Amino acid sequence: MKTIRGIARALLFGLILSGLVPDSFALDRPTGTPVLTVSGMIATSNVDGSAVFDLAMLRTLPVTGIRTATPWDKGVHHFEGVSGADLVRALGASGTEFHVVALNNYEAVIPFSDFARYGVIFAYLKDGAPMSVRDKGPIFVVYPFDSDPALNREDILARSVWQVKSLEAR
Amino acid sequence: MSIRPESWLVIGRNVVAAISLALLTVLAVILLDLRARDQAITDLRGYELSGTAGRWRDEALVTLLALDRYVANSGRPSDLDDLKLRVDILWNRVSVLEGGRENYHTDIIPGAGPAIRRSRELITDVDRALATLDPATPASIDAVRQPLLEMVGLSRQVSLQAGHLHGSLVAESRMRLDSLHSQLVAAIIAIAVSVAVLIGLLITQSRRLRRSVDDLQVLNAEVMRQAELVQQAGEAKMRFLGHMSHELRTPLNAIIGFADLIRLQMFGPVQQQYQDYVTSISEGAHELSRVLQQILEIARHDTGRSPGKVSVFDIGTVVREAVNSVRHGHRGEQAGIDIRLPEEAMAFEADPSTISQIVWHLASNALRHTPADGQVIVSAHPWNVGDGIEIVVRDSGSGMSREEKQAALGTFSVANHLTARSRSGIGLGLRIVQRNVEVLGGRFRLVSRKGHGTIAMVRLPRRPLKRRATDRRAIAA
Repeated sequence: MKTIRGIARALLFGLILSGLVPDSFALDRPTGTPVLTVSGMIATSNVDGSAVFDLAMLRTLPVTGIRTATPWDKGVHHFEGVSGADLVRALGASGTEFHVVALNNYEAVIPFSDFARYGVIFAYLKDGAPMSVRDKGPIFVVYPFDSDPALNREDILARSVWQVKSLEAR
Repeated sequence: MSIRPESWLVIGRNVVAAISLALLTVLAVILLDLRARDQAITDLRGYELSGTAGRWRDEALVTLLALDRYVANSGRPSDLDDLKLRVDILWNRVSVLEGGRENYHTDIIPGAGPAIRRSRELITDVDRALATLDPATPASIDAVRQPLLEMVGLSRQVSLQAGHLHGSLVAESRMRLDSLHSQLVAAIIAIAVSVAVLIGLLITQSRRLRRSVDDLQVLNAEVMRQAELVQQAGEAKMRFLGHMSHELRTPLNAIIGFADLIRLQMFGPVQQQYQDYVTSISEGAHELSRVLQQILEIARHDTGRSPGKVSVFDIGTVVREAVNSVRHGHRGEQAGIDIRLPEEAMAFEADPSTISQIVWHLASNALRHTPADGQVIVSAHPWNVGDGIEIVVRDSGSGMSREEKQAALGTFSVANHLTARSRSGIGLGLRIVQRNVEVLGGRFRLVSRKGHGTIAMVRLPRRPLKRRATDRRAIAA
């Protein structure tokens, strides 16, 4: 009995670890307005070697939420989106960092290690609603600032990019 | 003038206190200053507004360019989309400036607050004007362009101010840090110097102390040696006195014996005049014998010999025997002696001869100084609820003046007694009494007035204190 239960537990654990996001992620062409383009060292693409997402496609990826205040806003908000780790896994990205470019051509570099260490998300929902460009949308890189005071550092703040347009894995 | 080691201690302590105080002050100043620096660096984040303002200006300029492109391309839809996107981005910037952390510091930068508030109005105007924008109508284009131009001007102004403040703060911080660095170096040098001075002081002081200790040891040895010599001299003196008294007593006994033979006319009659002479010889010899006996006793005490064996006895018996001895020893007419004792026996533990001496000398003294029609009363009774014994000898004799009393009870020393001439009024007996009472741990009081008799009171504790092995006072005297 014990052995069977052990095997079952192991299987379940493996399923959780490997399972929710399939390794080979079939990416259709976007049908809505493109919000994010990922290029560089990725295994999955849909448009000319890049992975182009509309909001609906992003929403098919596992959703991770962070409840926090940010230095650029008033009050605490609930941000939801795809975690950096899930995005890297979904695209089979093989580099060590994302080069992030925003709509205003602001640029920053986010190391993949931040994803595991801080649970960074690429948020597209703020308090349940899609984020407009006028409010840091369509994609906002959110760190859990409230749960880790050490994140209140200039280098980290610089990586928390709003109005994200594109990523390049490298 | 040499400074004593204690003064060095005081000087060292004061030096330490002064240096510590100075160092504490310097450190407090440095700490406060560091805190101020820390606050300034925190504030410096606010001046990050210089960077933000720069991006704000860039975004405003890009929006202007997008407007120009739209107009130049005669209202191409994709250019309109781009223009709208740029306006959205600018809108977001104004929101961040209003509600983000930069806003917390706008009060530091002159004009930043009003500039941001004005920008909100301007971006709202732009947003409104976009709805009626027509590339063919210059007025509608101006409605977008003018607010954007003004915003570029505002953002440039804020950017410049912030950059200027940022730069001056950095320069100031650098200067203060340099000065703090100098202060710290000075403090460290001061600490090093003070530690060196202190170590020097301590070494000097410990050397002086060691020298003082050496000197003291030499002095101490010398003092001990002298004390030993004094003790030996004292003992030798007492031994000499003892031997002398003893040696004198032997011929004195012969004088007394033969004088008595002559006085009693054992071998034939003697002329009356010779009889008177021989009576004088006999009395003088007896007096001399008594003095010698007392000198012997004192010498015995001073050389530290124990008074004898301790046993339990009845005080009454000893008192009675001592008084009888006094009665029989006294020649010529004498006053009456009464003995008053309680009916029951009074057991006491001591050397009986010590008590006997006390009673004997007190009674003998009283009898000698009391005329034949006078009265002497010797009493003994329990004292302090039976915890001790009180012996009282009262006489109706001549009494003593204050000076005589002091002389009688003066420093216990044979030398004193010998030089103070044993007049018939003051004998050595009282000092022997005093000495014996001390040995028994008791108290001796003498109440007397010239012409009104004397009361001698001796109080002895039930359990006598052990006699001190050597009485240093006797040696010192």
